[in-house]
Amino acid sequence: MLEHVLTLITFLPLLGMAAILCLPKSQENSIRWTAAIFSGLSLILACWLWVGPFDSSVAGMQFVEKAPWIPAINANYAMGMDGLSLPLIFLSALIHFIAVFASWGITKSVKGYFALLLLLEVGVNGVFLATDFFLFYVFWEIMLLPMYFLIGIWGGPKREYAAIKFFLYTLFGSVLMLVAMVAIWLKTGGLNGGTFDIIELQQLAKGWAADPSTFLGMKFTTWIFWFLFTGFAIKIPVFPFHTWLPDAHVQAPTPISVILAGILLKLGAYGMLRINFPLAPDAFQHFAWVLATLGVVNIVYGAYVAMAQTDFKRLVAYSSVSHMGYFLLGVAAMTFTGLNGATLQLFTHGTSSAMLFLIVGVIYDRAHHRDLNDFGGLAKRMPYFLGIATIGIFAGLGLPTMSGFISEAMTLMGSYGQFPVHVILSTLGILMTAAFLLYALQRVFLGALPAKYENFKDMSGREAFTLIPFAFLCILIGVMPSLILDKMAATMQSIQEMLSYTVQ
Amino acid sequence: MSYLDALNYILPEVALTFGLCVVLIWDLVVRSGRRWWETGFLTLGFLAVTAVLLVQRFAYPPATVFGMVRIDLFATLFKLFLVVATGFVVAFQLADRNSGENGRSETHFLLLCAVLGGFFLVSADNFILMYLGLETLGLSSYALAGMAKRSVRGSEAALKYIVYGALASGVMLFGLSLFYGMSGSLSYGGTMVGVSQALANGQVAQVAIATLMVLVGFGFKLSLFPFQWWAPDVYQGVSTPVASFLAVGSKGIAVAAMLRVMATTFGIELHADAGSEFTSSLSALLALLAVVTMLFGNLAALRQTDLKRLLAYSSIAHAGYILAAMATLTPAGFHAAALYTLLYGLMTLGIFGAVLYFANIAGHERIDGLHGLGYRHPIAGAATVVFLASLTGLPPTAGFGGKYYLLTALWESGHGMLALVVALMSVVSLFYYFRIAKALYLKSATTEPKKMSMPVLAGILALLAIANVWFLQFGGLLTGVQQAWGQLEALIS
Repeated sequence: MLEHVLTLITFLPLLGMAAILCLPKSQENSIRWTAAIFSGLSLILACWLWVGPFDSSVAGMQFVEKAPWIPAINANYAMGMDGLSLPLIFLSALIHFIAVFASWGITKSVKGYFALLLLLEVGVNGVFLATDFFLFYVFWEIMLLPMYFLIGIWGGPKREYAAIKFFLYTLFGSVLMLVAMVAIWLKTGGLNGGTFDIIELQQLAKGWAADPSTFLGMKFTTWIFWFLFTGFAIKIPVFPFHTWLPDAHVQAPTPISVILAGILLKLGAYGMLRINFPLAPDAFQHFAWVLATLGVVNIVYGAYVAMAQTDFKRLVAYSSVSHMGYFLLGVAAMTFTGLNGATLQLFTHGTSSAMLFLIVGVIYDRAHHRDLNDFGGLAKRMPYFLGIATIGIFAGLGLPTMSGFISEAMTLMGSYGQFPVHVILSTLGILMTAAFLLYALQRVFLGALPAKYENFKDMSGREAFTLIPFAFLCILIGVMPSLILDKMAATMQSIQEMLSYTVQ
Repeated sequence: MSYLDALNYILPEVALTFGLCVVLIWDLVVRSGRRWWETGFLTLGFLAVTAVLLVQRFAYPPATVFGMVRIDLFATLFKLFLVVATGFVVAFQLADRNSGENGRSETHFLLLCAVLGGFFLVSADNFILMYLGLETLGLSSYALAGMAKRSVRGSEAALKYIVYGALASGVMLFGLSLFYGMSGSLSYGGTMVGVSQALANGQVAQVAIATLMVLVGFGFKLSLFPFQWWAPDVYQGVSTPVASFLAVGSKGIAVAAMLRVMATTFGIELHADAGSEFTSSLSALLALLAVVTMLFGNLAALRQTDLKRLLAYSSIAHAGYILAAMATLTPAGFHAAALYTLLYGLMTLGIFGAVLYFANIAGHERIDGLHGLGYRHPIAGAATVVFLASLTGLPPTAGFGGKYYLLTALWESGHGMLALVVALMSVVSLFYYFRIAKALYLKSATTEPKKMSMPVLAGILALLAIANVWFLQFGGLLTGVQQAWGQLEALIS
């Protein structure tokens, strides 16, 4: 089983999708449970790998699978997992599993919804596990179709606009990535022995970095660096490519927002660490200050715009823009602490933002609007929910003992040596994040309770079930970050070596 | 080669000719127009026989029959493509509920004529035979376009088609006569030598003019800018099955013939190590035409409301992609063009089948007729999404495989900017292709749609959708194209 475990994690949801398609449309509860079971199986496998056979002393790929796929162009079905993908695949499996329960209330074409949700999970898990660039790209694009329909069919009033905007932005990035992939494949020999193997490419990249020849005034590595970077930056999203995000988030149904913020944004960051930066280390070092600057712009600008929002969901969406900035800043510094902090930030933001979107969803389901100025005093009617929501909001603003604190502190500490001004500026972002999240908390839960909210019920068991795992993780990682950091250490070491490779 | 051997080589053509006679006689004498589906099934039968004979001919060593007809892997591959595509067209025609029953059996006869013309077009080793093939294909197509004689749109389409077509083939014939004047030979090989000598003597202008004129003829068939004006009106005016034949069969076989003519007529030039001034300007001209064609097709498609008009512009855009690959004038580029054409046929047949399916329900072919139908027809709806993804070039579909290989050929030959344009164009095309998906799934029907079930057509669509996913890995097509091209080029060196 161990030799096919990654295939199972990736394709169990596809099996679930097939099972759902075979069920009759009217069996809505069986459909929901089938989705829960199959995404749950993936989650169990991911947990098992974490506590069991994953060897944290190994830097390279584990549980490797490899089979020829398209011999004509030497593309392989190659999967592998290392310290970078382990936490993210766990996060992906968890978020999709929770999203299934958060989707229990969906009543419009239940069958199609859960089938697409599971297809989305196949794409996401595949991206994290593929070690073949071609396969990576195929999984990357497989996500787009389900996401388009999930936003476009089950979304809010402006869903059609948001869905196609998401699709066009992402595809624009993907085709640039595709051109870079073509160029890389040809560089390795094309039809005569070209390779897509990411590990092999990472080794070959050292030779490209040493090659001084230029095309239109830029080195090969510089070209592929910017092409790949644009593709991944749109997904993260990095300023100025972030404009699709608020629209997609606000229009998407709650569980899809949870997936989008919790895991889809992380794909861009993962792609940068796995492909973009290691394949062009010289360009990465040369432009590190640009990345750090973009990171700070994300942190400060995202938080600044979030302060002005009155729509709760839009506020959380912009807070995501802000939080993802830490990733860029931490990686750009190229220190071990910064890199670890940045990667941990992916996990911690995945849990805290998922929680925030779930919180918005709980409120929206009752009030059917998200206007912050129209709420107040919900604490009186929903005391338990207040408790959980407070954890979520504190995790989001990075309070000590919460996971967000660890990752943001590590990122800033790790980057201070390289970019002191950037770090000082980004503390502004922390301040603003605290301001808008606490102000939101105050406007929703405190003050006088308007009469129209008198009959609100506290959160249901199902809602509690979706929120508690994330709250638990936020605190657990906040007090014991070593749970993740130890697993990542060896891989992070090797990534740091790759990124700081200099031509002799 | 003995007479019998020669006959054996062209047995598919013979079978096809026999078939079209039988279909015509069956229609005229035996049934005289009633029960038109009988000729439909007869046609399918003859196409199947021809396909089997073609598959057998894959194993034959390449040969030139009667000094006129070149039978090699390349020709056989595209003939098989044409036969299979026409098979789908006939199947679509049998399932078409919107066109009247008038003239259906004639359509079958004309389709077979067009296929025969296409066979000689792609197999010709002589410009006269090539021209005859092109005209047989063309004249049958004009007649096909005019089958809906009582519809104003149909008549207009046929007239437009024939006027443009006559002009284009006239110009082409004049270009061929110039080539003959230069080389004193009508065979491809003789022309190749003549062209090379003319270029060596500095007669660049003559060769360029002749080349441009021949290009007009192919440009018309491929609907390349600026010869694409007929396409939207004709596609919209003719019935959906005939439109799918024009978009897939006629265009595909014309691409193959153009590839053969380019590779042989300029064979010596293309194999010269340095690459002459002539080839570099030819390459630049084709690249320019390709860019304009894809820009025109993609941008004009953005605002279409009629499905077939939208697909006409989309097929113009795809012709632009194919031409971009040809513009490299490298073997890899020609491979990519041939491969892309085959895969383009797969996705385009699918989307035309889907249009037929939904137009049968809606009774018209506007996008708003599709509103909400995806939920009532899950198989056809899902298949349509696959075709759209394939046309856009999204994995995991054949369209992505084709586009990947195309980008590779462009990048490898130093046409990086062209590759970037092709890549960005697929982002633009996403917008209009997914208007169809939007209509199917994101919109809800305003009126209760007709209840209708078409299990056979849905099955065909599902089959094509599966093929579209399967051929992401080329399914041996790439190797086939490479081998075929090797045989074709073996003639030159």
